[in-house]
Amino acid sequence: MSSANEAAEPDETPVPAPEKPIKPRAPRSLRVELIVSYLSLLAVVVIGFGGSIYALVRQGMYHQAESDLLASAQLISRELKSGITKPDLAVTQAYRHHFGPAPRDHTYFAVWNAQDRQFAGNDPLPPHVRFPAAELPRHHNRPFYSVSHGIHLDVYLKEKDGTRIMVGRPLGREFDHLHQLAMTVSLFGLISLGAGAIGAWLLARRIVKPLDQMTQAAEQITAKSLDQRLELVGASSELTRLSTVFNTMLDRLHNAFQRQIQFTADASHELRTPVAVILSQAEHTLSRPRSPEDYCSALDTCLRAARRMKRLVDDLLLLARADSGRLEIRQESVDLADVVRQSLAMLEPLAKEKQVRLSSQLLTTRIIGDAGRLSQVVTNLVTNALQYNRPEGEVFVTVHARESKATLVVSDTGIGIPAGDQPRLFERFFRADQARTHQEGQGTGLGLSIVSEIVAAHQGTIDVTSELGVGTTVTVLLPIPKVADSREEPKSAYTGS
Amino acid sequence: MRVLVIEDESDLRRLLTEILQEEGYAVDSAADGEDGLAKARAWTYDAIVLDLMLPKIDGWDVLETLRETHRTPVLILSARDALSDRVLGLDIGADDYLVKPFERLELLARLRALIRRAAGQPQASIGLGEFTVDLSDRCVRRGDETINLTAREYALLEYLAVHRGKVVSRTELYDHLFDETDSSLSNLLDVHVSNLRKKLSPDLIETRRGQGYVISE
Repeated sequence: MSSANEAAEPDETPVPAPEKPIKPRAPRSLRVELIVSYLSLLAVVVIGFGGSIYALVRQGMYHQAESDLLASAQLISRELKSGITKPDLAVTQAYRHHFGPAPRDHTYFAVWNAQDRQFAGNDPLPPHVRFPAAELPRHHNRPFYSVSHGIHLDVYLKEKDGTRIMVGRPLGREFDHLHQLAMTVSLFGLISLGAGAIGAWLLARRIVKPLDQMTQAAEQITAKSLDQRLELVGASSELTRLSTVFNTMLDRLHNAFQRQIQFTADASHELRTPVAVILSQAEHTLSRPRSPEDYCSALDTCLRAARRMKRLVDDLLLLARADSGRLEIRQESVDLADVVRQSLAMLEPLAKEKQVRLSSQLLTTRIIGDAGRLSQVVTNLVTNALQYNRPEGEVFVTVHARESKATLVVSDTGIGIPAGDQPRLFERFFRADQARTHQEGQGTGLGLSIVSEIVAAHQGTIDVTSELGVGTTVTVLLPIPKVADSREEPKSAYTGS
Repeated sequence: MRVLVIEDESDLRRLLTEILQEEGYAVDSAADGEDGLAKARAWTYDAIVLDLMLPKIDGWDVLETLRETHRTPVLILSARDALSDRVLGLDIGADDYLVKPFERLELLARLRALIRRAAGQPQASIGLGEFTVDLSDRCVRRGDETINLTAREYALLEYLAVHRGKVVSRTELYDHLFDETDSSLSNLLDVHVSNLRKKLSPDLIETRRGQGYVISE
């Protein structure tokens, strides 16, 4: 897996703008990777094992031949000591035969006296046998010395009187056996590698199959079929976890898509309605000659619809900017109380129309922010409070600093919001009453979304508590910079009705 | 022909009413689903123009509830243009679906077709002897000559022509030719009938005493 990961990583070179674009290595298939790794490992084991067997058997064979030849040399040595003279000195036929049933493996020997003269043995000796030096080389502290030439093994023995005996023979039969062993081991090695290859292929298939299934299933899932889920039967725990993670991601994606679809449907609905008004009003008015009063009223209708569209487009643009992180918030020192005071003055006519008492208690609270955007927050909150109120109701707005937070509270004695709807308040186009009565002055359904985006852009928080039939209180907390002057001084409280 | 407009957007509701009235329809209107459903069940309309996003009772529920008892042709006029909405709308009983913003001429043509089909009259013109009632242009011709009729007169003739061969009661005529704001003076109908007889021919519309009027096939 690790090498597959490496393969997936693009090659990075510190050289900027290379002459030729570096081709990223094509990722190797996991199946091939598994088979190759498995077979390499198996080959190492088979070769190591076979090689060890061969080496051990060969060593054993040499030991055996060596000790046999040594025994034979000691026999000759004993015969020499017992006074058997040169012409009779011989390795018996039976002994010869014992060592090599085939003529090619027949033992040969030679005896040299202290004067370096060969006085017994085969004549001629095989050409590789050299006359030994007076002192035999030390051979692992053993009283003899053995040397191999090709397939020949010769054992040298030195008597105390300087006589040197050499007995040797070709190891043809043993090498045949060794050869046979090597062939057998190789054959079995190849067979087990072949079996291993099949096993590796099956194994790799078993490992890769659920991955292939997942890939296929994932390929089937497009933006139009996001409600499909990956289902793995009998997969390993790792893959099951992967599919669970993938499915969770799909859930989130599906929800996001649903929200997006809902938003688009709502936005197009809200935009189509004023367009329908303008279009049909214009068509209707132009379908025959009209009186000047009719033209005026038609233009008035179009103007209202166009204003509605403008508000909506402005709101949508603001939200789109906020979504892409491009909502510009000016950083200037503003008095929140001033902002609220100005906004309330603008809302006074609406309060009169709705017969709602609008009062406030505003303490100078300096924060860093965007006066225009903050005024939008106040306007949207207070408009909602007025809109969803009862005649002779009240809206009370306060601004003060509390624990290094600027606090803006808008509370009303309005109709309240059902508890079930409260979590959805800031959703776009969400209306708690669902009554989309498109009256003049009514919001676009984006007001609270915009409020929450602007407050978030000011690093502030917003909290809504509401009781059905009693009223709603919205609390906005905005950070007060530590260095800024946040003195609270009671200023002439604004009160209106 | 009498049409009910159920639309919550006040400007659009007023506009639809004006457009349809200018075409000679008697138009009632409702600003929410509850009012709309009540009117749709109380009167016999020739067609209903229904918005989907309505306060109190939404358009889907209005249509479903209405379909339990009434076969009135319904044209959904909605800003919701998704395929699923259109399919659902038609499946739960709407006869046509038009997406906002709409072309005035298309709305009128679809409404005419809807009313024709509901009356079992798929052709766009009806021949009555020497006269031809052109349902698309809303006029009556004798040969190439167009006969000058008021909107009410034409509506009366059209209704009788579409239901020709059938005796139409005065109540039914009142229901289909006048909207809820018209003062239903009992002799208004007689005035229109006598005007039609003067302008066309005296024996085109027969009076069945105690039953109503009929144009024979």
